[in-house]
Amino acid sequence: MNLNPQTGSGEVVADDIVYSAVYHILVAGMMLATALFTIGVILALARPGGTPFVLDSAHPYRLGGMLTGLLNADPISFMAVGTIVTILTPIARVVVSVVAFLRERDYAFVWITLFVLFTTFLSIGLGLLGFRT
Amino acid sequence: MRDSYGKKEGTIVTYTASTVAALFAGASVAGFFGALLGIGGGLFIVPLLVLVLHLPMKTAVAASLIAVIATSNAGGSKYVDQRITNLRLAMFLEIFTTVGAIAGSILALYLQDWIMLLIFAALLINMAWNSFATRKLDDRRIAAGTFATAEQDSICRKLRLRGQYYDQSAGRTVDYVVTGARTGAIVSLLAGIASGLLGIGGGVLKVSAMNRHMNIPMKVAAATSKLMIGITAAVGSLVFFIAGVIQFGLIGPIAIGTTCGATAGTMVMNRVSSALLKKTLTVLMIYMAYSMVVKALQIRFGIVLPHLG
Repeated sequence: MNLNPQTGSGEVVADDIVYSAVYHILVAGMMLATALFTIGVILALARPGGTPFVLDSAHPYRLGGMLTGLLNADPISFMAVGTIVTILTPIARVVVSVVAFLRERDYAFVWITLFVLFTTFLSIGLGLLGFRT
Repeated sequence: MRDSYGKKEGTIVTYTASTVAALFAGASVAGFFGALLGIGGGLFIVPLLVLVLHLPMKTAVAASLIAVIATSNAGGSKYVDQRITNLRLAMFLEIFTTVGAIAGSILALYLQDWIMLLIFAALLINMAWNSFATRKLDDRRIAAGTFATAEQDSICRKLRLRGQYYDQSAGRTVDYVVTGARTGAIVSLLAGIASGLLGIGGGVLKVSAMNRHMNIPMKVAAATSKLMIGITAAVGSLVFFIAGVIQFGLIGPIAIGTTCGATAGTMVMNRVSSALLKKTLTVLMIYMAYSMVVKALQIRFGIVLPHLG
């Protein structure tokens, strides 16, 4: 336990549960994504005939296609799944923070974090409706 | 959208060891400075992609956003582990950056880019000047211990916004209390609007606002901003992802590069003085303001000044 010593008013500002939860989720996301990206780059370099950086059609990959692509050692599929893991990591960080603040009984921050999560999904929704977010 | 991708642009560059190495090296530098200063680094990654691969702007912006999230995951986690990040402060300010990002993206429908670019350029110049003028202040206040003695407002007190971190260059533990919740909220809202509207500049504004208005030591501001960038960029890129404009083939080398660079940056940041960080931030803000002015003049008057990307 890395408890902060008491400061000023005599309150302990530790938040150990939150720090540990956020750290672990970020590291897990980063390591998984980096592994996927590294495999993708190595496969792209090794593929006979070369791999283009940019494809004619920007988004030929659906989730199912990506997963079969992983089995077929398709470099772009590895990078696509790595991209998904990268994007979801910070969102997962906010989700685990809600739980961690709950466990610390820090209800003000449970609400704050829930609000951040709400605006996150709201902006995704607005983006889907055509706003440039 | 299709015309901005693939064949019609002409040269399609394929994976070779040298292009991968060039992208990796450039992205590492962006990741390093991004972690050092608590910013995303998109400003460097976009020109890199445009220069090395001759990509259209939109493709480069979408790819760079993913690389920015990768740096936030890497840099953010290291700073959380080092206990420099203030997680409560990050969460509190994220209320305003996320709302700002939504407001910015809606404003973008009604406002002309060039006006906003000039407004934010002026804001950046003002913050650059402040960062330079106060470059020695952080180290002096750390030595005197005055980050802990400021008067807190009622919001900061209620939310227990305070903290401490070990400053390696100063060789001591620094206690600080957060002040100026209202000003911080307003500037965070502006930073959110900047990133929603222009796609850049959120990190820089947040770092200088925390340091200038909220009594946050420079290193805590950088670490906290580094974490916050991830969620803003994730939301923006998810929209690109759903719209199908992310070129996954581009992401690998730059994401690995920014991740490695950011990890290196987190090892250096706490060892250098806050004064050096603030001077570096000043240079970056001036460059950023310049490139915004360049863009504004180009959009409004068709005047082309020398710039990267």
